[in-house]
Amino acid sequence: MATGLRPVRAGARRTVVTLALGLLVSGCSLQQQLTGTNQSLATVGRPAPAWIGTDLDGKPIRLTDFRGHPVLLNFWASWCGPCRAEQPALDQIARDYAPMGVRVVGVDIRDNLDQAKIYRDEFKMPYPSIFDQAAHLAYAYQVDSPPSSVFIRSDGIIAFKITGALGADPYRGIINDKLIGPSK
Amino acid sequence: MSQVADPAVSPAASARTMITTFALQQWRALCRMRTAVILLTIVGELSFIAALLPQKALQPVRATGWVQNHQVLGPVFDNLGFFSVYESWWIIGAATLMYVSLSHCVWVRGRALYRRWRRRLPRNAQFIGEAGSLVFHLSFFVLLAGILYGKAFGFAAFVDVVEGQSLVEARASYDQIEEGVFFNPSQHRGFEVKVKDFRVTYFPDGRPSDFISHVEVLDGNRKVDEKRIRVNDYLNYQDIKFYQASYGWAPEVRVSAPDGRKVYDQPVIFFGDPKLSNGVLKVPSAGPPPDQLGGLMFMVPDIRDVNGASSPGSANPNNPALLLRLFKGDLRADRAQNVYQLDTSRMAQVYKGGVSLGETAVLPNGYTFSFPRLLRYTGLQVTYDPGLPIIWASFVLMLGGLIVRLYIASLLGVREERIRDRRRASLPDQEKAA
Repeated sequence: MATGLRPVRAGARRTVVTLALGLLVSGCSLQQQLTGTNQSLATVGRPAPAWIGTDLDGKPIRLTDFRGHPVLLNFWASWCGPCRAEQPALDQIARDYAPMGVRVVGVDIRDNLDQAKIYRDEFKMPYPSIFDQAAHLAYAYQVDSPPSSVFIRSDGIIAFKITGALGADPYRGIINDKLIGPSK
Repeated sequence: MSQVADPAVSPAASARTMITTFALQQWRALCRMRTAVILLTIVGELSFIAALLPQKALQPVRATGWVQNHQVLGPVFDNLGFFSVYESWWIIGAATLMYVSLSHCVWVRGRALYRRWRRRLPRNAQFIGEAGSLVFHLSFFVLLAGILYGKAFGFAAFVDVVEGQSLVEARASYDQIEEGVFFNPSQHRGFEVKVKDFRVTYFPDGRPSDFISHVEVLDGNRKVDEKRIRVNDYLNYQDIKFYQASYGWAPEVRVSAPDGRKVYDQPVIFFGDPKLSNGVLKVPSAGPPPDQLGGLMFMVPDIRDVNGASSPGSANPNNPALLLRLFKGDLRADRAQNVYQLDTSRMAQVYKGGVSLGETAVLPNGYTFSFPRLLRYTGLQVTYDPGLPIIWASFVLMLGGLIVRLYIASLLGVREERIRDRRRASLPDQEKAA
């Protein structure tokens, strides 16, 4: 908004243009949409946040109920397609690893209770799920979206965290390696 | 008149001169105040459009719905980038050029003032006016810094919440979220916002006169705040702001299998005109493919019988009804997909009908479809913008610079003129003549 023009050195002009362009172009890429998985394992290696709530039938359920057991905490929702895709594998894992002391616990987030029960009955889920409509535990465990799994060692330390649907074999690999395997 | 070419100037040199002249002309045009004001107006108008139209980054379903519901304007606006204003080349180009122009102006003015200051020239009204003008122009850079800081260290999100439900201020709670590159997810606050109810009132012509989300804030299971969020009256807790952005119907839908087993039971979010909005039903629990059910629905809150045909009336729930086209087939429900869109490419329509509130329809395959309750949902825009104090500071600088330039400098100028006049009056006649 100059009122009068004076000669400006080419160097200064270039600097001004570069600065303004740089600022604006950087401004365009300063925000990012969350489309990928959460690569930050912020809570891994720390004690699992304690929780207490109710399952889908209204019965109290708390983390301390599973003290001394490795726990696979799986975040799901009835509207989530990838959750449906991995559910048979999770059911299988829960049955296979129960004799070894591993417990699978579901966390149903951003869902409707009646619809969650329909989902549970459809898949005949062999493990309990805490009903967390407001997603308190997703915050506590720094989970981005369902499906996500948090692997908690028997000493209560979070060993691993992953976002996305997995098959039975990857689940077995992680449980063997992180919860009951040599690196336990 | 014939022209004789100068043999000393080669065609290449001539072309270079032309290009240089053209570039200099464009540069001078860009540096004019008028150009900067035009660019500022363009940026302002594009921001206004972004405030009026749903933006794809935060409200993709509404943006798509707007395009579908406005068959002439929708595609035109879409092609112009009006649903992604802040990512469009229009605004990036206009803002870039505006800041180039401003940078040049600040450089010229700043350098002149600095020279004057160094040469210890008198700090008169003109000097103060120029300083005010420089502050005014610099304030745009402070504004830019505030916007960039807010984008880089903050986030913007959008979420639809059905009456009676809650959300926790966390990544996983939002339908859409854009976080700054320097925003750490652990910075989310984790408090709970419960939508107790939602109310909307209408003018006689059907336009909404007011829409209000009645919310409670719970922190550590303790109620810490209660607020009725309206347009321009937002909830602010721990620097996270919740704005009233949209609303709609969320009728509760229940589908039962022939054996009485419930296979679907929850509120469905509907989009579009509140007099006739559309929603999607997906019932994967009805059975494995190809026995899954899906539906395309219309919600009519005030259905009327006009000459034997059903027609939407007002937006008030005087006679609510759900109209349904039911499909059977493969929902491909084990894939990540938009929950608000139904892919009927592997499905066949098996039923077309409707139910009023409280009624149940028996479907041809023995399933039942019920509409037991009508709820509403509220669309909340959630933002954390740590750049706001910088933006406010830029406004103070902008206003201060303008006041100094337009008023204080003028007043000082008048005062200086009076002093000069008095001095002249007190001088002997010979000196005045000199």
